[in-house]
Amino acid sequence: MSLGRRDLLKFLGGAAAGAIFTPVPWKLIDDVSIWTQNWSWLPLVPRGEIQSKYTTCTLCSSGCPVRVRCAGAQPVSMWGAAGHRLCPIGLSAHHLPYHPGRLARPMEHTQGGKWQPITLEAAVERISTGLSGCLRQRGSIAIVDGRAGTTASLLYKRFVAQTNAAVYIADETTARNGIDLDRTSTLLSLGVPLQDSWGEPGHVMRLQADGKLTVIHAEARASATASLADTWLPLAPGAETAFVLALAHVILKDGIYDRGRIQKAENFRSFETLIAAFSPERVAAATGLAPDVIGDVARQLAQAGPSVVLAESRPGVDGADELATAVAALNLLIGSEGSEGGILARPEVPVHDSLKDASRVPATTLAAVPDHSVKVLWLDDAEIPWAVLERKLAPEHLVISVSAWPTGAAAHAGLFVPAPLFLESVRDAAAPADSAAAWFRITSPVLPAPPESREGVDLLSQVAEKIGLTPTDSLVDHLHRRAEAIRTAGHGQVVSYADGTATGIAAFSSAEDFWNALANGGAWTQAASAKAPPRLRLPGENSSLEKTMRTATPPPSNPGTAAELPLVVSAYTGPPAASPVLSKLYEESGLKEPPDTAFIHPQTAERAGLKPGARAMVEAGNVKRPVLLEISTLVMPGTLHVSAAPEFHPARPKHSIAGTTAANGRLVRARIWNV
Amino acid sequence: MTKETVKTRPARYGMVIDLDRCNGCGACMIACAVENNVPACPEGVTDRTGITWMRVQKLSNGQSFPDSRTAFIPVMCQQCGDKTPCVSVCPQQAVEVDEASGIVDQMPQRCLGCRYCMVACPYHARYFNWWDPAWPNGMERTLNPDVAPRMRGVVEKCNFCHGRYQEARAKAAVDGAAERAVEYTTACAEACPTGAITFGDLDDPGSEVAQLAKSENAFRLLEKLGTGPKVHYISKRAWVRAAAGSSLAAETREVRHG
Repeated sequence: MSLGRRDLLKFLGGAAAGAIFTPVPWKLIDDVSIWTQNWSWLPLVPRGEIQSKYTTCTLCSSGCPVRVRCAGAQPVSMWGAAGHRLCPIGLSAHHLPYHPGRLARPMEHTQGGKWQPITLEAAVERISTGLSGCLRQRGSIAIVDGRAGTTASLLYKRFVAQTNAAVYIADETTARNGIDLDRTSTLLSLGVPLQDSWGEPGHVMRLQADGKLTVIHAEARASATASLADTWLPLAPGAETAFVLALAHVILKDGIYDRGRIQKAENFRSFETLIAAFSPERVAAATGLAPDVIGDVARQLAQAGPSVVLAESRPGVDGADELATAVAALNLLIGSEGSEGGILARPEVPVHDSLKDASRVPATTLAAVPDHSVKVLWLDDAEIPWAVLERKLAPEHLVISVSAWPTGAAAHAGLFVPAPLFLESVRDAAAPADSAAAWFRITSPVLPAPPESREGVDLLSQVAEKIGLTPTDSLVDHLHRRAEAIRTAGHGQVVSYADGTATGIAAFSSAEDFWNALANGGAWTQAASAKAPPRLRLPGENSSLEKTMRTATPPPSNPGTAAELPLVVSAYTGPPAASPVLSKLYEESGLKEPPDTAFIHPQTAERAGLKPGARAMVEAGNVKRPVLLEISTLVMPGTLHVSAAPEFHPARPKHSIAGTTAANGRLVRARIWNV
Repeated sequence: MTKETVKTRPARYGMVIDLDRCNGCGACMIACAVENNVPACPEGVTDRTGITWMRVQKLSNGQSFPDSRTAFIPVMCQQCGDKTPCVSVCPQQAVEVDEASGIVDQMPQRCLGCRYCMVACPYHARYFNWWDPAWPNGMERTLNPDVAPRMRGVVEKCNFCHGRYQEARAKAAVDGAAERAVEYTTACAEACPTGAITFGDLDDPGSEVAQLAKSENAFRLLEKLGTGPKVHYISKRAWVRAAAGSSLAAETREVRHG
């Protein structure tokens, strides 16, 4: 048998046809696709012994217990501990040290407005020069503390006590008082993002779902909190104070308050006279709420207690002080001050002798600082709108920001010194708003901090020494001393994050034992007790509340073509930055409103001749920003809504409209036009 | 074969999400992404090109102010139990329903990236890797060591935290527990701050998830397609049920009455 060329070709043809019916070509395609998809630069997962470390989240004042899952020494995930759950930013906090927007080196602003790296020594030198130049001018140095009530706050106060030239600016309301939320029955919220970034994540919702808490939410927008509230009141922006006073009016008129107690309050008669002008009928137009709705809410607050009224805190915003005064008066009237389920004075966390004098230094409000008086402004994680701060600055000034994020007001600093992040430092958490207990919770470092980063108070101590003041020991040393002061005082208990068990403080025989219990995942806490305030004081008819009736005007039903609208900036109280993975998830899902986006009701847009889905310009006060204009049926007609949120994309323009216009107050009338 | 290896009735893992408890915080989304090493993707990705195994969608009741209301609905692979569309269209057998757990598994090693499954999925719960998986510099150190990142060119989706399931299964085997007793929970259920997500074995009548799935306010997405999803939702709000589907009871009535 001979084989010819034809046979060879037939064999090859048959083999090719037959191969199609074998797995070979398909497997080859499969393997080629896999080989071309796997490259050496693709990340490999970390290896190491899997272990859990417990610590306290200090990203916000909630101070949630955290279980950090580590592969070797590397954190790979974060989970709530001891029955607590984390917010999305906390769940991805182990990403933050690698965030591309994080600054890990000291920077200064050049004349051209760009950041330029400098050495830490040069930064200290520049700060020292700035501070020493105004040490003899009272009020020329302002320290704004974004984490009031912590041990670092005491060290700032110590510096202030030394110089006389400095003022300490912080909102210490939450540090002093807390809401006994677990025992509250009715909560009236005035624009507070209860479901979004306020308090321990999920706390309000869990109480609501268990039928323990009724939430009444007043806001000019059908936000998540509004939609999930038991009652939502679409309250016109700017009419919050009038609304609160109308509630007080109904309670006084119906006599549904503790007469024996309240009538003894200072200014009671004068308050009665003031309140007389705020009948539900009179404020109905300004608030957009029917008189009977206002009446029902007032009776619910007075009779379905314990009740609490809560308003968002907006430092420096016009009208914020009046609202705070009115809310305090209403809380007094409904008996929430000092009673179970209401607002309780937090027990004091014991302080070491070395800082006792400092603890008596009062905090100042930003409003009390004269305009154009501050020569050196020190910002420590302070989230105050820049326009508010800017008003306080002298023509020649130096702004120093100690933070990890060059966002918000920090973006305007002349000098930026990086602070270590949560998981990189030892610090204590501030007090949570939704608990009235005293807390001492520290976070332990899991990762090394960048070498040129400094805690704000440690940096200030370094500078103090340079300018001839007495330096102080490090924050870590002071935390150790405070822990020992707490142990010596002998009150309270330590809750373990690992298993949620509580141990009385007497069980800790040494300072080291106590510190280790805290550093390895534990919280010292002491419950608050109900105690009526010693002195009741109501605002009188000569207070600034009197003008509220004149300033509260309803939003225009037809804004006209000028499109000059009341600007509503939604509240956000969470951390200033988030993981890039979280940013991406929010962006893809459309779950959170993107920055620099304005929302307007379709009717308003039509009447004003505005084109939605297109670029527009918003001008509020001295701020002008381009925005994307979107229509939304969730927004009250006749208003313009801009959301406030963390700077999810630090690579983008640093100062969104949300940050700047809030400075001028929620009732700024913003002009908007298509561009 | 020993007595210990006798097969028990397989589990049918499922989930019930209480939409009246969901406040749209997105904790489930980030917990899922962290657990399963979902990459950050380049900036500018869209809802179609990005990867979000679990995506919380906003629902509106369609009314105008002040009657407008918002709700949130987390949507992920619904783990279809019957006529699973993605399984039937995959030319590579890269998708299968695990008989032991009822979980619809996606095998990236087999996936050719044809994306038929994405077209077939009525829930838009499948995502394609358009790019090499990449994280900002240094962040790759934070990856979950139990889950391998997927390569460019393959499809991926929620697998009820398969890594956790395997770990729990291995632990149960070491402990000598029967396979039926494998108990674990997903990252989203563990993370949800409001406790809106309940996970467990739907075939265990005593489990919380099985009982919640029988609630009169329970519904499944696109029930009419007959895909038998193992993800159930609950809402007392009629408009939410109407927006996302309809209640099982109503659905049954519709079928009965033709």
